[in-house]
Amino acid sequence: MTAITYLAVRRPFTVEVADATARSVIEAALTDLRCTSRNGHELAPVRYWIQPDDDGWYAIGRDEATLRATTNLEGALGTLLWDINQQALASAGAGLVLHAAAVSIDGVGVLLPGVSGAGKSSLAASLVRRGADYLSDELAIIATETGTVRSYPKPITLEHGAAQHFAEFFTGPIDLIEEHLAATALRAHRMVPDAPVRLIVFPRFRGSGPTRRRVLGPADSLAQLSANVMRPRDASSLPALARLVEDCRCSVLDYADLERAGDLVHEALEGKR
Amino acid sequence: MTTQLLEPSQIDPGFVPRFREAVAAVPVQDEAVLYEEDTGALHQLDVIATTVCSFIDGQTSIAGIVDELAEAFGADRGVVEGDVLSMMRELGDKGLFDGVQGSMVAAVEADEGGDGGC
Repeated sequence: MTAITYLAVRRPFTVEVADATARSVIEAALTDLRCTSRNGHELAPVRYWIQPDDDGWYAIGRDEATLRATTNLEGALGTLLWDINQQALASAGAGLVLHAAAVSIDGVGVLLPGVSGAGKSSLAASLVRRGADYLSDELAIIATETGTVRSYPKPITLEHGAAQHFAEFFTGPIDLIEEHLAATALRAHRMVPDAPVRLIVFPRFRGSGPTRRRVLGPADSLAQLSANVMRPRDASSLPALARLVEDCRCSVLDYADLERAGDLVHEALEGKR
Repeated sequence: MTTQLLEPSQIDPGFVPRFREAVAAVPVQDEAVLYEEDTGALHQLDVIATTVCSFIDGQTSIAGIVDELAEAFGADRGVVEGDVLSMMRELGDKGLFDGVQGSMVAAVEADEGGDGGC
Protein backbone atom coordinates (compact mmCIF):
# COMPACT_ATOMS: atom_id res chain seq x y z
CA MET A 1 0.00 0.00 0.00
CA THR A 2 1.38 3.41 -0.94
CA ALA A 3 1.50 5.82 1.97
CA ILE A 4 -0.46 9.03 1.56
CA THR A 5 1.78 12.07 1.32
CA TYR A 6 0.64 15.19 3.10
CA LEU A 7 2.10 18.66 3.05
CA ALA A 8 2.72 20.93 6.05
CA VAL A 9 3.25 24.19 4.15
CA ARG A 10 6.35 23.03 2.27
CA ARG A 11 7.28 19.94 4.22
CA PRO A 12 5.89 16.61 2.98
CA PHE A 13 5.10 13.93 5.50
CA THR A 14 3.51 10.53 5.77
CA VAL A 15 1.72 8.89 8.68
CA GLU A 16 1.74 5.15 9.28
CA VAL A 17 -0.86 3.89 11.72
CA ALA A 18 -1.07 0.23 12.56
CA ASP A 19 -4.57 0.33 14.02
CA ALA A 20 -7.28 0.58 11.33
CA THR A 21 -9.77 2.61 13.39
CA ALA A 22 -7.13 5.07 14.49
CA ARG A 23 -5.88 5.31 10.91
CA SER A 24 -9.33 6.23 9.63
CA VAL A 25 -9.64 8.99 12.26
CA ILE A 26 -6.22 10.43 11.42
CA GLU A 27 -6.61 10.22 7.67
CA ALA A 28 -9.98 11.95 7.89
CA ALA A 29 -8.49 14.74 10.02
CA LEU A 30 -5.53 15.27 7.70
CA THR A 31 -7.33 14.97 4.40
CA ASP A 32 -7.07 18.68 3.49
CA LEU A 33 -3.30 18.47 3.84
CA ARG A 34 -3.01 15.79 1.17
CA CYS A 35 -0.33 16.63 -1.30
CA THR A 36 -2.05 17.22 -4.63
CA SER A 37 0.84 18.55 -6.65
CA ARG A 38 4.57 18.04 -6.82
CA ASN A 39 5.14 21.03 -4.55
CA GLY A 40 7.33 19.95 -1.69
CA HIS A 41 8.34 16.68 -3.30
CA GLU A 42 11.88 17.92 -3.62
CA LEU A 43 12.15 17.30 0.14
CA ALA A 44 12.20 13.85 1.65
CA PRO A 45 8.97 13.26 3.55
CA VAL A 46 9.01 13.16 7.30
CA ARG A 47 7.72 9.75 8.34
CA TYR A 48 5.39 9.68 11.33
CA TRP A 49 4.20 6.46 12.84
CA ILE A 50 1.72 5.52 15.54
CA GLN A 51 1.98 2.08 17.03
CA PRO A 52 -0.40 0.60 19.64
CA ASP A 53 0.92 -2.10 21.91
CA ASP A 54 -0.78 -4.99 23.67
CA ASP A 55 -1.25 -2.97 26.86
CA GLY A 56 -3.30 -0.31 25.12
CA TRP A 57 -0.55 2.27 24.91
CA TYR A 58 0.23 4.23 21.78
CA ALA A 59 3.74 5.14 20.80
CA ILE A 60 4.16 7.95 18.31
CA GLY A 61 7.36 8.70 16.49
CA ARG A 62 8.97 10.71 13.77
CA ASP A 63 11.37 8.77 11.56
CA GLU A 64 13.55 6.78 13.94
CA ALA A 65 12.72 8.72 17.11
CA THR A 66 9.90 8.05 19.52
CA LEU A 67 8.21 11.34 20.37
CA ARG A 68 5.85 10.12 23.03
CA ALA A 69 4.11 7.12 24.48
CA THR A 70 0.59 7.70 25.69
CA THR A 71 -2.30 5.72 27.08
CA ASN A 72 -4.75 6.94 24.48
CA LEU A 73 -5.06 7.90 20.86
CA GLU A 74 -6.09 11.40 21.86
CA GLY A 75 -2.62 12.06 23.23
CA ALA A 76 -0.95 10.50 20.21
CA LEU A 77 -3.03 12.60 17.84
CA GLY A 78 -2.29 15.75 19.81
CA THR A 79 1.42 15.03 19.66
CA LEU A 80 1.21 14.29 15.94
CA LEU A 81 -0.58 17.54 15.16
CA TRP A 82 1.75 19.55 17.36
CA ASP A 83 4.79 18.15 15.60
CA ILE A 84 3.25 18.67 12.16
CA ASN A 85 2.78 22.32 13.12
CA GLN A 86 6.47 22.55 13.97
CA GLN A 87 7.33 21.13 10.56
CA ALA A 88 5.01 23.65 8.93
CA LEU A 89 6.56 26.55 10.83
CA ALA A 90 10.08 25.42 10.02
CA SER A 91 9.30 25.02 6.34
CA ALA A 92 7.55 28.38 6.08
CA GLY A 93 10.82 30.20 6.57
CA ALA A 94 10.93 33.79 7.70
CA GLY A 95 7.62 35.48 8.24
CA LEU A 96 5.13 36.47 10.80
CA VAL A 97 3.23 33.76 12.67
CA LEU A 98 0.12 34.69 14.58
CA HIS A 99 -2.03 32.71 16.95
CA ALA A 100 -5.07 32.95 14.70
CA ALA A 101 -7.50 31.17 12.45
CA ALA A 102 -7.90 32.39 8.88
CA VAL A 103 -10.45 32.04 6.12
CA SER A 104 -10.95 33.61 2.74
CA ILE A 105 -14.29 35.08 1.73
CA ASP A 106 -14.53 35.87 -1.98
CA GLY A 107 -10.75 36.02 -2.13
CA VAL A 108 -10.40 38.36 0.84
CA GLY A 109 -8.36 37.07 3.75
CA VAL A 110 -10.04 37.26 7.14
CA LEU A 111 -7.82 36.82 10.16
CA LEU A 112 -9.28 35.70 13.51
CA PRO A 113 -6.53 36.10 16.12
CA GLY A 114 -7.04 35.03 19.69
CA VAL A 115 -5.80 32.98 22.57
CA SER A 116 -7.05 29.46 23.24
CA GLY A 117 -10.70 29.57 24.17
CA ALA A 118 -11.37 32.85 22.36
CA GLY A 119 -13.63 31.04 19.93
CA LYS A 120 -11.60 31.52 16.77
CA SER A 121 -11.81 27.89 15.65
CA SER A 122 -15.57 27.69 16.12
CA LEU A 123 -16.03 30.96 14.28
CA ALA A 124 -13.77 29.84 11.45
CA ALA A 125 -15.63 26.54 11.19
CA SER A 126 -18.95 28.36 11.14
CA LEU A 127 -17.73 30.71 8.41
CA VAL A 128 -16.49 27.77 6.34
CA ARG A 129 -19.82 26.04 6.70
CA ARG A 130 -21.58 29.11 5.34
CA GLY A 131 -19.26 29.49 2.35
CA ALA A 132 -15.84 30.78 3.34
CA ASP A 133 -12.73 29.03 2.06
CA TYR A 134 -10.51 27.64 4.77
CA LEU A 135 -6.92 28.80 5.17
CA SER A 136 -5.70 27.82 8.63
CA ASP A 137 -6.47 27.38 12.30
CA GLU A 138 -4.49 28.08 15.47
CA LEU A 139 -1.55 29.48 13.58
CA ALA A 140 -1.60 31.85 10.65
CA ILE A 141 1.58 32.32 8.67
CA ILE A 142 1.78 35.79 7.14
CA ALA A 143 4.10 36.68 4.29
CA THR A 144 5.12 40.13 5.49
CA GLU A 145 6.19 41.46 2.09
CA THR A 146 2.75 40.84 0.60
CA GLY A 147 0.48 40.87 3.65
CA THR A 148 -0.98 37.52 2.60
CA VAL A 149 -1.92 34.66 4.87
CA ARG A 150 -0.55 31.33 3.74
CA SER A 151 -2.80 28.36 3.13
CA TYR A 152 -2.11 25.67 5.72
CA PRO A 153 -5.35 23.67 5.92
CA LYS A 154 -4.58 21.72 9.06
CA PRO A 155 -7.56 20.21 10.87
CA ILE A 156 -9.73 22.66 12.75
CA THR A 157 -9.61 21.85 16.45
CA LEU A 158 -13.02 22.12 18.02
CA GLU A 159 -13.39 21.70 21.74
CA HIS A 160 -16.40 20.04 23.27
CA GLY A 161 -17.82 23.42 24.10
CA ALA A 162 -18.50 23.77 20.40
CA ALA A 163 -20.33 20.44 20.18
CA GLN A 164 -23.77 22.04 20.22
CA HIS A 165 -22.98 23.75 16.93
CA PHE A 166 -21.16 20.86 15.30
CA ALA A 167 -22.85 17.88 16.96
CA GLU A 168 -22.67 15.71 13.86
CA PHE A 169 -18.87 15.70 14.09
CA PHE A 170 -18.66 14.62 17.71
CA THR A 171 -19.90 11.11 17.02
CA GLY A 172 -16.77 9.50 15.62
CA PRO A 173 -15.58 5.97 16.30
CA ILE A 174 -13.23 7.27 18.98
CA ASP A 175 -14.38 9.56 21.77
CA LEU A 176 -12.02 12.52 21.60
CA ILE A 177 -11.92 15.46 23.99
CA GLU A 178 -11.25 17.71 21.04
CA GLU A 179 -12.43 17.06 17.54
CA HIS A 180 -9.85 17.60 14.83
CA LEU A 181 -11.94 18.30 11.81
CA ALA A 182 -10.98 18.67 8.18
CA ALA A 183 -12.56 21.84 6.80
CA THR A 184 -13.89 19.90 3.83
CA ALA A 185 -15.94 17.81 6.23
CA LEU A 186 -17.81 21.00 7.10
CA ARG A 187 -18.38 21.90 3.48
CA ALA A 188 -16.85 20.37 0.38
CA HIS A 189 -14.62 23.00 -1.20
CA ARG A 190 -11.27 23.31 -2.85
CA MET A 191 -8.37 24.57 -0.82
CA VAL A 192 -7.51 28.08 -1.94
CA PRO A 193 -4.05 29.58 -2.26
CA ASP A 194 -2.80 32.37 -0.05
CA ALA A 195 -5.11 35.36 0.41
CA PRO A 196 -4.39 39.03 1.13
CA VAL A 197 -5.52 39.93 4.65
CA ARG A 198 -8.02 42.77 4.60
CA LEU A 199 -10.15 42.08 7.65
CA ILE A 200 -9.01 41.27 11.18
CA VAL A 201 -11.60 40.24 13.75
CA PHE A 202 -10.58 39.43 17.32
CA PRO A 203 -13.22 36.93 18.51
CA ARG A 204 -14.06 36.78 22.19
CA PHE A 205 -16.46 33.98 22.98
CA ARG A 206 -18.49 34.92 26.04
CA GLY A 207 -20.96 32.07 26.46
CA SER A 208 -23.74 34.55 27.22
CA GLY A 209 -24.58 38.17 26.62
CA PRO A 210 -24.96 40.19 23.45
CA THR A 211 -23.11 39.39 20.26
CA ARG A 212 -21.62 42.61 18.96
CA ARG A 213 -18.72 43.96 17.00
CA ARG A 214 -16.69 47.02 17.93
CA VAL A 215 -14.33 48.72 15.51
CA LEU A 216 -10.81 49.08 16.85
CA GLY A 217 -8.51 52.01 16.28
CA PRO A 218 -5.14 51.36 14.69
CA ALA A 219 -3.05 51.54 17.87
CA ASP A 220 -5.42 49.22 19.73
CA SER A 221 -5.39 46.86 16.76
CA LEU A 222 -1.62 46.81 16.70
CA ALA A 223 -1.46 46.10 20.43
CA GLN A 224 -4.02 43.31 20.14
CA LEU A 225 -2.21 41.75 17.20
CA SER A 226 1.08 42.01 19.03
CA ALA A 227 -0.40 40.02 21.91
CA ASN A 228 -1.07 37.17 19.47
CA VAL A 229 2.32 36.95 17.80
CA MET A 230 3.93 33.53 17.98
CA ARG A 231 6.99 34.44 15.93
CA PRO A 232 9.11 36.52 16.01
CA ARG A 233 8.58 37.27 19.67
CA ASP A 234 10.37 40.59 19.73
CA ALA A 235 9.93 44.13 18.49
CA SER A 236 10.93 43.21 14.95
CA SER A 237 7.35 42.10 14.29
CA LEU A 238 5.86 45.52 15.03
CA PRO A 239 6.50 47.26 11.69
CA ALA A 240 5.04 44.28 9.82
CA LEU A 241 2.04 44.24 12.16
CA ALA A 242 1.59 47.97 11.61
CA ARG A 243 1.54 47.47 7.83
CA LEU A 244 -1.00 44.71 8.25
CA VAL A 245 -3.23 46.97 10.36
CA GLU A 246 -2.93 49.74 7.78
CA ASP A 247 -4.31 47.40 5.11
CA CYS A 248 -7.16 46.11 7.22
CA ARG A 249 -10.32 46.95 9.01
CA CYS A 250 -10.00 45.66 12.58
CA SER A 251 -12.61 44.93 15.19
CA VAL A 252 -13.36 43.00 18.34
CA LEU A 253 -16.24 40.57 18.20
CA ASP A 254 -17.81 39.58 21.51
CA TYR A 255 -20.07 36.66 20.83
CA ALA A 256 -22.34 34.12 22.35
CA ASP A 257 -24.41 33.52 19.20
CA LEU A 258 -22.24 31.86 16.56
CA GLU A 259 -24.60 32.50 13.66
CA ARG A 260 -24.92 36.18 14.53
CA ALA A 261 -21.15 36.38 14.88
CA GLY A 262 -20.82 35.09 11.32
CA ASP A 263 -23.32 37.70 10.15
CA LEU A 264 -21.21 40.42 11.77
CA VAL A 265 -18.03 39.19 10.09
CA HIS A 266 -19.79 39.38 6.73
CA GLU A 267 -21.09 42.83 7.56
CA ALA A 268 -17.58 43.96 8.41
CA LEU A 269 -16.39 42.58 5.12
CA GLU A 270 -19.10 44.46 3.25
CA GLY A 271 -17.81 47.64 4.82
CA LYS A 272 -14.33 46.82 3.65
CA ARG A 273 -15.32 46.31 0.01
CA MET B 1 26.93 61.99 41.42
CA THR B 2 23.47 60.47 41.58
CA THR B 3 20.71 62.14 39.61
CA GLN B 4 17.53 62.58 41.62
CA LEU B 5 14.56 61.07 39.80
CA LEU B 6 11.39 63.11 39.62
CA GLU B 7 8.08 61.84 40.82
CA PRO B 8 5.55 62.00 37.97
CA SER B 9 3.56 64.57 39.94
CA GLN B 10 6.62 66.82 39.92
CA ILE B 11 6.56 67.13 36.15
CA ASP B 12 5.84 70.80 35.46
CA PRO B 13 5.85 73.07 32.40
CA GLY B 14 9.61 73.52 32.67
CA PHE B 15 10.28 69.78 32.35
CA VAL B 16 11.92 68.66 29.12
CA PRO B 17 10.47 65.24 28.26
CA ARG B 18 12.73 62.72 26.62
CA PHE B 19 11.85 59.09 26.05
CA ARG B 20 14.15 56.48 27.53
CA GLU B 21 16.52 54.98 25.02
CA ALA B 22 14.66 51.65 25.22
CA VAL B 23 11.37 53.27 24.15
CA ALA B 24 10.54 53.14 20.46
CA ALA B 25 7.52 54.64 18.72
CA VAL B 26 5.84 52.57 16.03
CA PRO B 27 3.45 54.61 13.88
CA VAL B 28 0.29 52.98 12.62
CA GLN B 29 -1.98 55.12 10.47
CA ASP B 30 -2.55 58.33 12.45
CA GLU B 31 -1.86 56.66 15.79
CA ALA B 32 1.14 54.97 17.33
CA VAL B 33 2.28 52.55 19.99
CA LEU B 34 5.23 53.03 22.29
CA TYR B 35 7.26 49.88 22.75
CA GLU B 36 9.64 49.34 25.67
CA GLU B 37 12.38 47.13 24.33
CA ASP B 38 13.65 46.21 27.79
CA THR B 39 10.29 45.14 29.22
CA GLY B 40 8.35 44.24 26.08
CA ALA B 41 5.47 46.46 27.18
CA LEU B 42 3.30 48.26 24.66
CA HIS B 43 1.40 51.50 25.21
CA GLN B 44 -1.24 52.62 22.76
CA LEU B 45 -1.45 56.27 21.75
CA ASP B 46 -4.62 57.68 20.26
CA VAL B 47 -4.56 60.38 17.60
CA ILE B 48 -4.24 63.26 20.07
CA ALA B 49 -1.59 61.55 22.18
CA THR B 50 0.34 60.67 19.02
CA THR B 51 0.27 64.29 17.94
CA VAL B 52 1.49 65.51 21.32
CA CYS B 53 4.23 62.88 21.42
CA SER B 54 5.43 63.94 17.99
CA PHE B 55 6.57 67.20 19.64
CA ILE B 56 8.80 65.39 22.13
CA ASP B 57 12.31 65.91 20.82
CA GLY B 58 14.34 65.82 24.03
CA GLN B 59 15.01 69.57 23.81
CA THR B 60 11.65 71.28 24.00
CA SER B 61 10.07 71.84 27.40
CA ILE B 62 6.45 71.07 28.07
CA ALA B 63 5.76 74.82 28.02
CA GLY B 64 7.32 74.99 24.56
CA ILE B 65 5.27 72.01 23.36
CA VAL B 66 2.11 73.64 24.71
CA ASP B 67 2.94 76.87 22.84
CA GLU B 68 3.38 74.98 19.58
CA LEU B 69 0.20 72.95 20.03
CA ALA B 70 -1.91 75.95 21.02
CA GLU B 71 -0.70 77.87 18.00
CA ALA B 72 -1.02 74.94 15.58
CA PHE B 73 -4.57 74.14 16.62
CA GLY B 74 -5.78 77.60 17.64
CA ALA B 75 -6.65 76.24 21.06
CA ASP B 76 -6.81 77.90 24.47
CA ARG B 77 -3.32 77.70 25.93
CA GLY B 78 -4.50 77.08 29.48
CA VAL B 79 -6.65 74.14 28.43
CA VAL B 80 -3.84 72.70 26.30
CA GLU B 81 -1.36 73.02 29.15
CA GLY B 82 -3.62 71.17 31.58
CA ASP B 83 -4.19 68.32 29.12
CA VAL B 84 -0.54 68.03 28.12
CA LEU B 85 0.70 68.10 31.70
CA SER B 86 -1.74 65.39 32.64
CA MET B 87 -0.63 63.26 29.74
CA MET B 88 3.08 63.79 30.44
CA ARG B 89 2.62 62.78 34.06
CA GLU B 90 0.83 59.65 32.91
CA LEU B 91 3.68 58.78 30.54
CA GLY B 92 6.15 59.52 33.32
CA ASP B 93 4.24 57.28 35.67
CA LYS B 94 4.64 54.47 33.14
CA GLY B 95 8.39 54.88 33.32
CA LEU B 96 8.79 56.03 29.74
CA PHE B 97 10.83 59.20 30.38
CA ASP B 98 14.42 59.69 31.37
CA GLY B 99 14.68 61.21 34.81
CA VAL B 100 11.21 60.23 36.01
CA GLN B 101 10.45 57.47 38.47
CA GLY B 102 7.66 55.33 37.02
CA SER B 103 5.34 53.50 39.33
CA MET B 104 2.94 51.63 37.09
CA VAL B 105 3.54 48.05 36.11
CA ALA B 106 3.63 48.21 32.35
CA ALA B 107 1.27 45.89 30.58
CA VAL B 108 -0.30 45.57 27.19
CA GLU B 109 -3.84 46.78 27.58
CA ALA B 110 -4.85 44.60 24.70
CA ASP B 111 -7.71 42.72 26.27
CA GLU B 112 -9.99 45.68 26.67
CA GLY B 113 -8.46 47.64 23.86
CA GLY B 114 -6.76 50.19 26.10
CA ASP B 115 -8.13 53.51 27.22
CA GLY B 116 -7.47 55.29 23.97
CA GLY B 117 -4.94 57.55 25.59
CA CYS B 118 -1.39 57.07 26.71
